[in-house]
Amino acid sequence: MRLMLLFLMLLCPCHCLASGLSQNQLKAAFLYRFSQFSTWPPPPKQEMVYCVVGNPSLFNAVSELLSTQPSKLKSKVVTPIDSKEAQQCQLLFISQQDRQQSLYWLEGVKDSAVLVVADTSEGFRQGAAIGLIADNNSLNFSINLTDARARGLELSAHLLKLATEVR
Amino acid sequence: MKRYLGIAVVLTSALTEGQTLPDLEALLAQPLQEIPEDTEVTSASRMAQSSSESMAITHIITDQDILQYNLRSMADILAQFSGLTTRDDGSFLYVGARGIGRPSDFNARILFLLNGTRINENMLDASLLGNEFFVDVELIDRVEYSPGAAAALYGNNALLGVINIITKSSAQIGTLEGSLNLTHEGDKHMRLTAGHRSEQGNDSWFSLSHIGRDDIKFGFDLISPEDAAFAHLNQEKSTRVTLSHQQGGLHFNAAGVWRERQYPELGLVPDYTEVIRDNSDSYLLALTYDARLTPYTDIYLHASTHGNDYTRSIPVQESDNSLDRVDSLFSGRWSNVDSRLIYHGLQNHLWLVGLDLQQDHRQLFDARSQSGLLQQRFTNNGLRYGIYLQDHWQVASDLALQLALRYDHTDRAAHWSPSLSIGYQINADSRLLLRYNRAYRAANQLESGNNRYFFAPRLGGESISTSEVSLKQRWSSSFTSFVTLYYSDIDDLITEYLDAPIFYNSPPIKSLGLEAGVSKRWADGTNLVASLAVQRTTDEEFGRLGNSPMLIGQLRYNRPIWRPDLVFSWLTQGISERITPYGRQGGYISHDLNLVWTPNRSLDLALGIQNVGNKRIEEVTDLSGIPTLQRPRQAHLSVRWRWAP
Repeated sequence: MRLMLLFLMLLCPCHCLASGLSQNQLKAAFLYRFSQFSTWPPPPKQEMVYCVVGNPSLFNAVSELLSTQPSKLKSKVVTPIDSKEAQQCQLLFISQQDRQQSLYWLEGVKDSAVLVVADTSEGFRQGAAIGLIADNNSLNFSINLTDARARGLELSAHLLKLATEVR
Repeated sequence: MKRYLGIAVVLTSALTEGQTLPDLEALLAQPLQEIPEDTEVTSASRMAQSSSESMAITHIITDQDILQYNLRSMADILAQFSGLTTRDDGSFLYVGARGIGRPSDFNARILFLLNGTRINENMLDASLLGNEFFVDVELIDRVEYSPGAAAALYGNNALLGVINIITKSSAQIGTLEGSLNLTHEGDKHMRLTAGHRSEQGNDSWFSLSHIGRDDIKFGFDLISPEDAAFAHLNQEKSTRVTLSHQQGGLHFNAAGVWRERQYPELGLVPDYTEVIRDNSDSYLLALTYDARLTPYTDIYLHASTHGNDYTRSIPVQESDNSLDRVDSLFSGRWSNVDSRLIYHGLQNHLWLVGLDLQQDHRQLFDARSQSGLLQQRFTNNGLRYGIYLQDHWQVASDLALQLALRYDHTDRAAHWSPSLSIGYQINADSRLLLRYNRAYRAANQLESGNNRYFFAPRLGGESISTSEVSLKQRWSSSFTSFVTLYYSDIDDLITEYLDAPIFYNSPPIKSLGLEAGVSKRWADGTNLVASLAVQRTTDEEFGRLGNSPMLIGQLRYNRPIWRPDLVFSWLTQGISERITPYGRQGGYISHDLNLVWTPNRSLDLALGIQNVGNKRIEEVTDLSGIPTLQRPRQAHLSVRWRWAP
């Protein structure tokens, strides 16, 4: 009985933890940080183009984030129509895509200096440089350094240090 | 990695004001409000895949669960999985699943993997999960449990499920991490781990830990109160060494554990200082290479070598009142080579083809009395191999079919293990899974050796055919559920006679069960996970199978209280009555309470009480029929300190 009372007491609303970020807002924040810790091959870019495919909510979250972050470089977020258009991206997030869809986007940008981020295990295994994958409780990221370097991208030591896995 | 809750909360507030973006460390620490649709699972299909693609339900306990629920042993972790039960006789941890978990089973019907490396040993196919387990639970990133037969991919032992334990990387450990766990009964567990991540991303860590338990309370009721004075002879100590190095697609793991256990066998000999000694020494060395060969082809290569020596020395009083000792040794040495190719170049198909080899270098059982009156010895070695093929066919956007077939060959028998799975996406939030699997287990070295030695009939392997249907439902972004209904026919289950150390193949057994669970998450950080397993396993001889509870209920709940970095957790486990050949063991409900405080990135403090109500829990774990007390009330304190410049 005493245990039940304690349990009921602990079920009462707690206001100590303010509402946090949604999963897509978190992904957008990660994406922004990834861009800050990555270096693209020359020539220097005039504009930072973030591309998001497969997830309109993530697109909106990135758009909102970019509008609040001061940046020396002009930046925008787009949803490419096809993989050819995706070659214009600096950073491509393929979100919630199955194996065939992931392969389509990855094949389309395979010779381009595009930092590809995937949020599925399949996308990361198929060639995304960064896998931003959820476990039950939080988001973690893994890095495929070989793929990133093959595209001429350099990822900072800080990023490599915090990745769950570097392949 | 995920322990910066307090800092994350502060930064979360800042971000919502639209001004300051949290740094990467804080983002990694940010708890998810929603239950993610896709997580990575590896055990169901023997390759990394999204849970939404998987054709089986996989349950996961993460490092954050281990921290927040203050799970201190493999027993604590395994008890969180739907339908699993654990029993500990003080020397060995036994796991039951889907109605099978009888006295003297040694976890041979569940396949255990450590980072994908098979760790069931080669004498009893036993999984050593107590203090003789290879890894401290604080070094575990996640544990996956895929219930149900999976021999079509894994071969021997994968009858009732597959459990894969995946360790952390140095990014999650830090440069230096130390921990100390104490209980009010004087149990101590100390660990020191050093990690390094190079600028090229190469990852290494090394860990050393020691467990010491003195004056362990006897796990049964004493006949004479004076016997309690011999508790100082009831001791255990265990030392673990673990090493991990990853470089690109190469991953090297090494682990060794040395465990010494001794206890007086009250009533066996007049001189109680003549103790029983149980020692276990195990090691493994494993090297894996996992890489993408072409845009359409992944390769996985694995080689490992293992050893396990278990020795038991028992004092025996002879008829002339002289004292003798019977020393027995189980000694195994074996190596595994696994390889598989994953090919997804064909539209809508994902092919997996693999070959597993196991060379048993030594399977030795030796028992002898020091007087020379008793002597029993058998030894074996041999080669086992298995070849398997799987096709995952995405028939339509909402329909997937997975076919798998495996052929296994040992020196005693050959087996075919087929599997058929159908996945149907009913709508965006509901997924239906239908599965049929056949699996087998060959008689282990003890079972076949004992029967040979005592001229008992030769044993055949046991097999299971399981049909199951599962429904995964996502009611909202923060509320999910699953339900699985299964039916199994078990043939020739290898069973030990109650009155002799020999085995027989039992008549057919039928197992019918339901596993269901819900997960709910609230915006204030509260988490609730509840599951219920209903199972009925019967044979033609005894009716309900021994140690098979009808109901298993689990509940875990946590929430921050008073301050965001202080988390309260509540764990409840309820098990219904079990019937054993020796009588009935009453059902029970027990509760564990914990408080975990993470004041900063470097420190975790946990205080908990196991079995708060001090519910008397008894289990029969072996054929002696003597019930052993389980998980009495115990207060414990854990401190974990981390340095990560």
